[in-house]
Amino acid sequence: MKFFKTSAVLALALSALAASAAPEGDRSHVADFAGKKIPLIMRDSVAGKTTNVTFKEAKPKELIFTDSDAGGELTIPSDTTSFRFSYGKLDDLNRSFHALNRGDGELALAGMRGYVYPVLGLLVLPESSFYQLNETLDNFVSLLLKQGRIKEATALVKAMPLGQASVPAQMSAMEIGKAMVAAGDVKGAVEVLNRIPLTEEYAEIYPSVLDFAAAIRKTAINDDIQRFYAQLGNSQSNPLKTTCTLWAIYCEISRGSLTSAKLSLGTMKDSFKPSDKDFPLYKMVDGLRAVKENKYAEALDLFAEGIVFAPPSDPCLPELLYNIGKAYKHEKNLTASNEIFKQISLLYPGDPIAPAALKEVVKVEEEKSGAAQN
Amino acid sequence: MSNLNIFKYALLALALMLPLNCAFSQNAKEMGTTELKDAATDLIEKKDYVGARPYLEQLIIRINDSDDKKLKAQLPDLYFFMAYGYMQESQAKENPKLLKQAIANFDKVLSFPEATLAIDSIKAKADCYNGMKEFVKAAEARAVLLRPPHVNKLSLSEQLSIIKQTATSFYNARKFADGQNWFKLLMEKSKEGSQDQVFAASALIQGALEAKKYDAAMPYLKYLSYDVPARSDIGLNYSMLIASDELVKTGKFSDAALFLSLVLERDELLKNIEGFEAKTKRYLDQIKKNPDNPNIPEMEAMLQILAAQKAYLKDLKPYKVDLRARAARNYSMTKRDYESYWSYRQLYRDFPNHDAIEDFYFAAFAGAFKIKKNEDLFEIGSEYLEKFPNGRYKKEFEFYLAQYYLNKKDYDTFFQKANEYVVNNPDEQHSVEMVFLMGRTWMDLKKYDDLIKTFTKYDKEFEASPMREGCMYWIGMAYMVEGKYEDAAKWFGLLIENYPMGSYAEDATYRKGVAEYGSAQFTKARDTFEGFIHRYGENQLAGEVEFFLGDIYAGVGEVDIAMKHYSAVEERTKNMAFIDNAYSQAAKLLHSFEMYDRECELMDKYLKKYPDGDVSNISFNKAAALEMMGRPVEALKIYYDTILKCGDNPKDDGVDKIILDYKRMYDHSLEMTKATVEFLDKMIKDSDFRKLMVENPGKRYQYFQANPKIDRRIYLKLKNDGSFREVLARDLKPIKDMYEASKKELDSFPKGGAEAAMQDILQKAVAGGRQTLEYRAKMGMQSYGMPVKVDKVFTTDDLKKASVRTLVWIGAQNEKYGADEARKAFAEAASREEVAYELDVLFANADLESRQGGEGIGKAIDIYSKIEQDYPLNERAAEAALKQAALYVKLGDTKKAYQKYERILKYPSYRGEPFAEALYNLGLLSERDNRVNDALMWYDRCFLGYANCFDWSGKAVLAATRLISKTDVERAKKICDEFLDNERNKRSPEYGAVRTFRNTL
Repeated sequence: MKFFKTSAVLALALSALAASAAPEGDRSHVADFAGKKIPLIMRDSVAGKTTNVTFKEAKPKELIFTDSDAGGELTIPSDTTSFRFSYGKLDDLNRSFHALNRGDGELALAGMRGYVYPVLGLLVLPESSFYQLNETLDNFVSLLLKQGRIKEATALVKAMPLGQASVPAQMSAMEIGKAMVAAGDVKGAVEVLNRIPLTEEYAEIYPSVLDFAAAIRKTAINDDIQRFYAQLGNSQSNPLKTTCTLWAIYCEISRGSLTSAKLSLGTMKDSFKPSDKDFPLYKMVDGLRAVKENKYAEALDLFAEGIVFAPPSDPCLPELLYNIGKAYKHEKNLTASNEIFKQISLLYPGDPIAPAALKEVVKVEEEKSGAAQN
Repeated sequence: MSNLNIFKYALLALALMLPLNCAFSQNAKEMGTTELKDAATDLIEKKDYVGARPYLEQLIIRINDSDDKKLKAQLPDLYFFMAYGYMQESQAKENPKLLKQAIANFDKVLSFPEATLAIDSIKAKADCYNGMKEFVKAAEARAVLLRPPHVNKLSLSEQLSIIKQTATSFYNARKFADGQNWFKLLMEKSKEGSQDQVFAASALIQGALEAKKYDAAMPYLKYLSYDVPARSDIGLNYSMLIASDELVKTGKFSDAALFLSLVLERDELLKNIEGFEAKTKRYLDQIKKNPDNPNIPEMEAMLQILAAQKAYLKDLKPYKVDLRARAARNYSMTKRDYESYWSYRQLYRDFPNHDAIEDFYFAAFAGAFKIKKNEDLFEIGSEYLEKFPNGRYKKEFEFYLAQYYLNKKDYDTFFQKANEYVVNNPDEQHSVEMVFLMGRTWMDLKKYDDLIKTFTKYDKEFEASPMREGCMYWIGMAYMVEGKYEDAAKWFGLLIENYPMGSYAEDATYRKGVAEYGSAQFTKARDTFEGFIHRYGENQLAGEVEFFLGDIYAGVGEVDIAMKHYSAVEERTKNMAFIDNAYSQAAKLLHSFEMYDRECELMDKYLKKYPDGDVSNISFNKAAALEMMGRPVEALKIYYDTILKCGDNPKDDGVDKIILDYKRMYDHSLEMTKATVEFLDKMIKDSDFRKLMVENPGKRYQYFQANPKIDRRIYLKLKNDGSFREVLARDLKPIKDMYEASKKELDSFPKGGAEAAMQDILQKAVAGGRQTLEYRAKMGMQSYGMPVKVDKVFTTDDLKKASVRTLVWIGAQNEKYGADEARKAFAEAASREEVAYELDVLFANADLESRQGGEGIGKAIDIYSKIEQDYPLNERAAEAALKQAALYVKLGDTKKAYQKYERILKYPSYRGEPFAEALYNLGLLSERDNRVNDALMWYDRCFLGYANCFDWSGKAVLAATRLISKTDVERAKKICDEFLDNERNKRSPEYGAVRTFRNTL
């Protein structure tokens, strides 16, 4: 996209925008745009026709538009790839990007809103059918979160049709979800999580879903998250079924239900080879079981085996390292535990476990040397 | 010139290499302007920018000469194509000068602020600099685009693209330092976790590592957790590998481990790249459905990069083994023993044919040993020895396998293996360690004979072996534990003689001293300890050694030297137990030498220096000294204050000691003070008496013998101080002064006796809710014979608050509510493991059980037996033995009772009252068995041998005479008369009974 304007006209336009978008508190803007229409250009790649439209409404498998020129309604299937959409007018969007360039996030947001909220219903289109919307949404969400507008982001994600939305939209929703966790709204985040579709069609986002779930889990292990994992673990079509099952057991153990967890682990014994993707996770869960049984040597052994066979990008590594660090600390091997906790804080500073890890670092005094006694 | 604009973007394709034939070679200077324009346009349309140059040059000259503003407005475009011409030519000829020319022309374009081709000129100028490998200038050129006015014409993605392009050029040229700001900018502008961000992080990391600024790389490591292609860049991974190696060399294992943990192996990199390639292809296929998608070029470029990386990696030799071996080593260095073990284990399993396979086995084996994975240890060890019967680490494995048996507590196998190892490898360092393990294990198992026998044999057979030192040490230790101090001293001496610089020498020196002390070789012990201080003054045992030296010198009456050593204890140790003991011993010494002033001073020094130390016991000592100095009031005040101050600590047995001694001190001191006052009063008033005391040593002696309660110091003063006696002959003042002081002391005695003091303490304790003190006070009151009201059972919480000595009293109180309640108190006391009143607890417990009868008697017997065993030299051991015997009698087991009483007679330390009691009881038992002669023999030995034991001599006389009177009345009478005639026997409780019996004869 190219957004060239002469400087004078640009300055005027920006000041107009500024006059209409005074800084506001963090709130939902969904209602502000209810019923608002923005011009869109719809291109029919089959018929080779271009039509100016506005979005009217979304129905379960259809999207209804109004022909801006001829009037009348146009209906297309939600999953169409024959139609391409783009924004009809880009003036305010251009201005908002300029504002962003200048570091005026609020002004940028004010401009972008008009390109997101009125067409949220179109997120059900495949990404390639309206990539401008997905790109704009992506930038909008990033900026919202950067500006700390959690309330608005929370309202936005509630209004998004996550059940059928495009993959980028799901990703944006999960980013909002993670921000909600960080802001303490774990319950709200769980609601978002439960709305993410977990069908085969969305298989490519499963790792991101688990990442999102991890953010919730690392803040609070509760009924909801445990149920989430258990549900996913029971889903035969879920390619990450085993991973989810293991996390469900992990939640069980963390919450004190050792008996049931041991039974589950027992059925999995010898099922994992070191080369298996879930091997480190399995070892961590089993190690946690050993910790709860006060068998620290066994726990260290299990955790260590998991670490050695885990690839550096394994998502359970931060927790695995944290757990082994705690076990070493319990066994008074402070050299090892301090090293591990520092490693966590350096490698995973954004992980919720990092502050907890830093707190576990203790000062080690030098030992005095003495003559052999025995 | 509008046509020129049409070809504006076509010029960007520099790959179009057109022949430089000038289609129109006519001399440009002679051509008309329109002709020039047409010619230039024609060539430009054909992309022959080099050919167009002469015409463009001429056009430029003519326009510059003109004043036409409209014409001049075309100049930027003309310069632009000039520049492109040079660029095109440079492509063909590779001449940097041409690029410079191009740059100069682009600069001319830029000199026109409103030039529409400004951005393109800047980009192309940067490309020229890149072509000249002047990356910094290229970056500077591009940087202009990110400033107004150009930045306002660019979208965010275009800006990002420029930053990325610049960053990439620096990256590709490996100019990390120069590109640092660009990398940071790219990182800032990119999305979290995106390929661009990780790429930027990778560059910053590599730059920092290249400059060996390892800390500077740390903040960027977090970006390496994102699974994007940049993470799998071979350059990044290689630089982290090198950095790790460098850090290991400097001993920074933690940082080394950090970097190493992030290095990906070749196969992993390849797998990742292939994964990204597939993913990118899929994505590209998807987005190509919309040919306008702006991401297409980037994705295509990405595919090319990934393909290139894949090709490179396929040619690269795998370094998995090296990586894992480094990781395993680093784990070990940072004490992450479990990870180290698993790493090495993985290595020898996965690479059975590697050159370093034996090293891997050994490292895994040592790791398993360290973390006590015994079964794995055995498995690995056995496997190694089978595969490598003559392997490099054969001896190591044998050594550790022996320890495997030790850890399993299979001691027989351990000793067998250990012995084999030592005998076969006497000169190995591991044999030294094996001897240590053998020695320690034998000591733990208390198999001293085996230890001594084996190590003595080694000592003889392997004279030159380094393990001899350990053998000598352990032999010495075994003898020590067995109480064979002389033998122990001999062996420690041998060790020191043969291995003066050995690792055991220091400890052996200390042990030798203790052994010599234990065998009463005090002079030798002294020399050894003084040698220890001289040589090993910094050793943590130095304090204890000073203590021993203090005792040695105290034992020979060298008070000052002993005091010097006792004082040195606190300089050499921080151990408060030793320091407290040193002060106590010093106090005892000074007390025994009647140096009460010094004793007081020393105790004051302690109290000042250690206000939170053993205040009660030190105060006890100080009060004892004051009592002897004739200052009992002060002493009693110290007692009183200490009880109040320290009485809340149930663990402080010194308080109980004070409470129990309070009445004795009070009564005794009061009597003494009264007697002293009376004597001094008489000395003042009765001149004859005074003269007698001063001038007649014999009478003086007799008088003081007859009146032992008078302050002995007065006697010594009269006896030893001639000048004092002389003064007294003419002046009463000294004696009056003494009288006044004693009178004052007497008058200031606390009223009401110990009873009043304890009552007062009790009231204060109750008022203050101080239960521990309250119980102590009641315990004390009862010991003084005062009535104490206790109308409750002491609960578990109460027991926790009571001191051990108080628990003895509580046990007796609780017995009213049942034996179990009493037992709880004794059990609580026993659980404290405090030595001071353990005997009291044991006796009380035994007495309780004894009173229960039935099974209780058996329990009581066991407890008395334990007392005898654990306290053989204690004066109450005899009491335990006698009570045990009495219980046998109660049980009707006269045989055991008899044996017990006879055993008592064999202990010289029981001589005195216990002997008398035993003899009398043996008489009774014999009498019961109708063994009259034996009975008489026992009674005889009792009243004849222990006539001063009035409690028993009288009983023995009565019993004997009753027995004798049955057959020999006269003899019975004689015995009675002899007993009754001795005035001293009036002290016997049976005196009256004997007289009564005599009267019946």
